[in-house]
Amino acid sequence: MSGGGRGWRHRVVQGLSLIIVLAVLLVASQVGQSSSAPGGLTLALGLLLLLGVLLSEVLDVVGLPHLTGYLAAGVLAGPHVLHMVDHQAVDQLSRVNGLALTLIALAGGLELRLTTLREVRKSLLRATIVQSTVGLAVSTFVFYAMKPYLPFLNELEPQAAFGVALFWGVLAISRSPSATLGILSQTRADGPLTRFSLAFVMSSDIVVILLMAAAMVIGRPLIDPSATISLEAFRGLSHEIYGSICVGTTLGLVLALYLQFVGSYLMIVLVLLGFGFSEAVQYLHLEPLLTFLTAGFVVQNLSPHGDRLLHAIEESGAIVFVVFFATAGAHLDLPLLFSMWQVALSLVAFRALATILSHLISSRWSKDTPTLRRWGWSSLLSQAGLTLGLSIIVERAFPSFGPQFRSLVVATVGINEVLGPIFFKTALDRTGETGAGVAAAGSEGNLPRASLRPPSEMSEAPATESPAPEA
Amino acid sequence: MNPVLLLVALLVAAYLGGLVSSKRTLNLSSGGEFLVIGALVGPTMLGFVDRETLDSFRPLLLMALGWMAAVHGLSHGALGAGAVRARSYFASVFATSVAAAVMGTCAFFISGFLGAFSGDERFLIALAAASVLSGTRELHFPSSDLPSATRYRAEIGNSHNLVGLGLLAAIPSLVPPEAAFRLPSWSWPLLGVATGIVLGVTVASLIGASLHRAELWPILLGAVLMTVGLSLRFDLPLLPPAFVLGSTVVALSPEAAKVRALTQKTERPLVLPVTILAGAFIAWQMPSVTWLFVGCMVVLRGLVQYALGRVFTAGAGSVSAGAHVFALSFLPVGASSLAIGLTILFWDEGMVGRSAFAMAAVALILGDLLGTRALGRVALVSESDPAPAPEPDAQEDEEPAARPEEEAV
Repeated sequence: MSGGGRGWRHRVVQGLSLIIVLAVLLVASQVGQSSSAPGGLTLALGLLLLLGVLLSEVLDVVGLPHLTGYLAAGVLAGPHVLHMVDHQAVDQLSRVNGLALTLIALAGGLELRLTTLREVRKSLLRATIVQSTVGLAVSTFVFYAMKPYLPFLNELEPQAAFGVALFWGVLAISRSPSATLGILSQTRADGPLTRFSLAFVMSSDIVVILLMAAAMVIGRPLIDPSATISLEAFRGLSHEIYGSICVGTTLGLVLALYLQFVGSYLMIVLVLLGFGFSEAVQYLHLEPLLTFLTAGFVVQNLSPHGDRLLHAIEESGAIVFVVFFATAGAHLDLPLLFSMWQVALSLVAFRALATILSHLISSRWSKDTPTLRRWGWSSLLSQAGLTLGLSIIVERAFPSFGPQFRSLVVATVGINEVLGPIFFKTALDRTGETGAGVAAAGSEGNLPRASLRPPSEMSEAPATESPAPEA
Repeated sequence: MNPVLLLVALLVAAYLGGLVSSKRTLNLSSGGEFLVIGALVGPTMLGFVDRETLDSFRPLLLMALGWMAAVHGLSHGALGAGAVRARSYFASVFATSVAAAVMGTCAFFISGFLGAFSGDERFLIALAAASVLSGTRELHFPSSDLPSATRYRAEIGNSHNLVGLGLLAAIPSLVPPEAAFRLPSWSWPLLGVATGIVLGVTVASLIGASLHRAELWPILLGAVLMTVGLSLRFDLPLLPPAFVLGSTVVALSPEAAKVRALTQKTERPLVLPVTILAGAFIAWQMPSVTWLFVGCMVVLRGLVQYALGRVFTAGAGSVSAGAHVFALSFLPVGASSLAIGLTILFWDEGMVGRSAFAMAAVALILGDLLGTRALGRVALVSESDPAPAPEPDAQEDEEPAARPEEEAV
């Protein structure tokens, strides 16, 4: 979706279109019926799609990622700025999140080639260990140290405050697969940084889910002295993970057979999976993200149809990702963000420092290439759905401080969601990996990225030969 | 019924619809059987789908209707990659106007005679009947390289919906919407048309000289949904503005043929779920006199379409299937008629809306029963028929190269 090579005339047209769309909407909002009328949802969806694409193209001029444009469209049209999309419409549009997360997880699994994993396994393993220990420890300590500035934490006993800080530490090492895939889908990047980021961000989901379960087991007795450490949570967790992998493998095999023998109407099949199958997975108390990640991994590595499925997801994603991120932008609670911006910004800064520090340690330990050593942290800053989902678990488990804790998470995720993709795209541009997939595939637009091809082919199109970044 | 289950059922229907249309055994049915299924499971018959669940799907249905109208706008007056011949186009518009005039006049007098409607409602039902019952079934082929009669039938079918949608757009001038501002009653249809043109120009400009498929979908879908949303906000029927948007894009974009080829493939998978949902909206509890009116109008439509078909035979050149079969091929009803009926129902859920929708539904079922076979013969549905060259742009998806019987949906 990169707008590279567009002339100034096209940019002027885009700018004018943006003005026209906003003008039409402003007039309609003044003279029409209320936005809660039946057309409100339709209008909101149409507006977010059109505005998201237009803003992403306009921001592309200054090198910002498309994802930032989608988020900006949501913020701009949302209930806190122009009021073109109200809270009710935002809630209704959030139903598309299930579909988006399904596509993201499937695409994530499809991106995990065994060859790629083998290539980066040393860096991946060591980065996972360091981020999960150093990153978690630093973030936990910083949160605990900020106790005087957090009223809900200050009221707690020291050990209880430490328990809460432990939850924060786990959340701090969660990443955003959707943001990573969104940027890679736009830039069609390929190279060492791309492969490391994909492998790390996708696999870190599983690690974070496991760590959160462990933190719950350890943190609960610290916060509630009457509670005891119970291994029941681990049993439930192992059931969830084992079940998710089994169901995901089965789904992956079925998908591979479907692609082999039928293969048509993939878009409908994907929507069916996103709405129908993900409901069934949740009904079985399994982890949808892990299930679809496994399914994608199986299709990619046990069948020759991975690229085809990925291509279909990218086509569907053109719409779904815009709605997903624009809705996320509209969901941003700006008043809350403004009310706690100092604390939130400090936490974001310390999290970034912890991430970069952990990356430097793991990178030196793994003897990574200079490029990876310098820019490997850039994809680890974004946070989105998974972090928010885990914060809801904490909120439900601890109603006494949960809502305040979650508000803080929402505020920091809001900042990371906006800044993270900018850093990642900048890094891809600087390392020359942007557009490498397109250059290698020999066309712009609709072909899979070079990273999807076998390594023998990839070696013919090194990332350094890619065209200069458009920004 | 659980909304998720209903959604899954609809998606399966969409999948089957897409699959069936790509099979060699051509399915020229307009989906009458799916309409009946929808009616059976709907709240007024067996009640598997309750009213609340059905209403929760209304936004989805509105979006689907808007998209279908835009696709019809994009393919209006087109056959394959090119435009239909001018004489066919004007013949189609003229014949549809005649049909609309006859249906409207008859609806006005029959409704008065039967006492089904009175006062201003008679004007409204006349306009609704003319809009719903004046059209016929579309036929899309990947190429215009067809036998003369087949080509003529396809050209007529692909140019007919201008009149029906124009009449639908005119309905708000009879009953002006309640809005925060005042406009002369005649200007309401123009407001809808203007909305479609403004957003159509925007889309055409954005698509520009280079078509990026990844950008096309969100831009086009976003513009269509905005048009639908604005129409509903102004309390206008949603189909005409979306149709105008599609037509504007075709008129202004140098990539019109590609856009048309890409979007046309989305229609069939949408039609079947829409038809099932539409069936569930049929209100069986109408007075018997209203049903009698609906029956009269549908029979009359059949006669008018048959008569027009006989007239069209003269312009079709040699008709190997015979004049009678050629005329019968005009009986099936297109998806646009059902969409018009449904739009009128959503616009006015009173007796006028219900009757208009019932007319569309009954005409669709009867048209399927009486005319599908004839349409198949005119569309040359047999394994031995020569296959026109497939349209290049239609091949790039996952489907294999299309034969004429595969594409004629």
